[in-house]
Amino acid sequence: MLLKEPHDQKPHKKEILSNTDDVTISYRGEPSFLLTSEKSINQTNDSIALKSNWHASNISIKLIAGFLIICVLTVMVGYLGLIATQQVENLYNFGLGMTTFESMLQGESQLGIKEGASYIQLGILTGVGLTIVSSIGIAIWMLCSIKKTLQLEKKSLITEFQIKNERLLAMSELAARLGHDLRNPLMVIKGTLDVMKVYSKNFDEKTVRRITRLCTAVSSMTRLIDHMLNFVKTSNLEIANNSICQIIKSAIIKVDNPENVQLNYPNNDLKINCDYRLLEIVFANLVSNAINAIKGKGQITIRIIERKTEVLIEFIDTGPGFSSHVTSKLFDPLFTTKVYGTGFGLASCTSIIEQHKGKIFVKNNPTTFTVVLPKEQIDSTKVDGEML
Amino acid sequence: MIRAIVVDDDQTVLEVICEFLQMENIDVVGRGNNGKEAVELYRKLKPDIVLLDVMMPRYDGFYALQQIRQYNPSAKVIMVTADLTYETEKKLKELQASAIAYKPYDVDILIEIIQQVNQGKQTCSVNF
Repeated sequence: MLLKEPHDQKPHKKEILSNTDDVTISYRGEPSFLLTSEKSINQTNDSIALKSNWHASNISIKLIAGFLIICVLTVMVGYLGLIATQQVENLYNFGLGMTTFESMLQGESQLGIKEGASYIQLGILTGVGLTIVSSIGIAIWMLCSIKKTLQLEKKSLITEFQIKNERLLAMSELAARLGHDLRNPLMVIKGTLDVMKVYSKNFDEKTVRRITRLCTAVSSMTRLIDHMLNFVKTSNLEIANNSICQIIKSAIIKVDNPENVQLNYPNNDLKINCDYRLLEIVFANLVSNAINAIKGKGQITIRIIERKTEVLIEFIDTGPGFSSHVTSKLFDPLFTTKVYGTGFGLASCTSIIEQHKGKIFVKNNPTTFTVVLPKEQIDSTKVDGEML
Repeated sequence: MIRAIVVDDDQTVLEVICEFLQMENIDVVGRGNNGKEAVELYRKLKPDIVLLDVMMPRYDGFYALQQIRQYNPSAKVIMVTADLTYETEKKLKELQASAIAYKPYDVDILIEIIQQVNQGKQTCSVNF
């Protein structure tokens, strides 16, 4: 399936994400994280490190160091214990010897040596006990120290994330401003071309073709700017109780629908609280993509499935589907499989759906884009007592 | 013949719009570069239609629209903007703009809007 955005969409929505050299911020439900060129997160432990925002490499070093210290201590205690046991045995044997030869004369000595041996054994046991206790102490100390380091790591990562995030925000502001400012010169070019078109009767065929070419270029620039603004601009949701079918129908009107495409509308309908215009953009995008995927010939089925707290809207087409490496990038901004695609279509869809606290995903066989929307939408404007 | 004033801070945009309007037999009686000039031109010339840019330095389109509305509540003011946000649209609706045209627009559509507004139709939020 290909990514295509319908024409004449109005930008409303923002979600910042970037694909710069050293930063990737996930934005679809997964925890936000950073991958920087200087601070790499271990591949092997990345899921744990990412989930906790901790630095895996540091955790490993501390744990290995702690483990080694405990091992060395255990070996040392074991060795000391061995030597001490041998010494006791020697003393005991010596004591036994004494009883054999001089038992009558030094009967009390044997007892003394026996007592001495048991004292040494007690000493060794105490030593072992102390070592175990100190090992536990060291382990606790290690854990505390690791925890502290992790907290520091976490803190520095959060700060770094905030800095990057602010930078991205600034970049998106810049993009929005740039897009906006480009409209004026575009307006001039478009207007002038329109004026020239009026006089086109006096032009030869080649000049008319050149003017047409310029017009096409201007409209594709306009489209690109629109889609980019669609993606970076922010605005509050205009929540109202809308019929999903109605939104789907008005979205389909916006899409060029070829004759050979059979559209199967849902046979049920549901009213949910949502932003009509934004969802119209999403549905138009998905239908337009589906038409592209089936190359203008085939079937597109739209289904509405009601669940307890949410509603599923499925867009199923008879197209060939995606390879796995395409699927992973499908929702990324600027990723497109089309010659004239802007790569903002599905990225915009994602941010709109996320703004609705919903989800969007895709599966193959048959190619299905599923939009999941909660039935109850928290209406931020109603909190302020303002009704839309 | 419809009499119009055109206000935009971008000189080239102004020229293009005026050229096209004149080709379409709309008499451009005045041109301005900011909101303050728009209000002064309106009071002086009393045109049928005002084509007003929204984003202008210091005295913007919102200011001009408000002032013109105060002066003449039934003034026909078509707002021209490159800003497609809800906030702008909401604000323009509150100020009762006669129509909104989004840049870059098809000049044919602009002419159509001018004619509709001139006939007294309120066409807020024109999508194209």
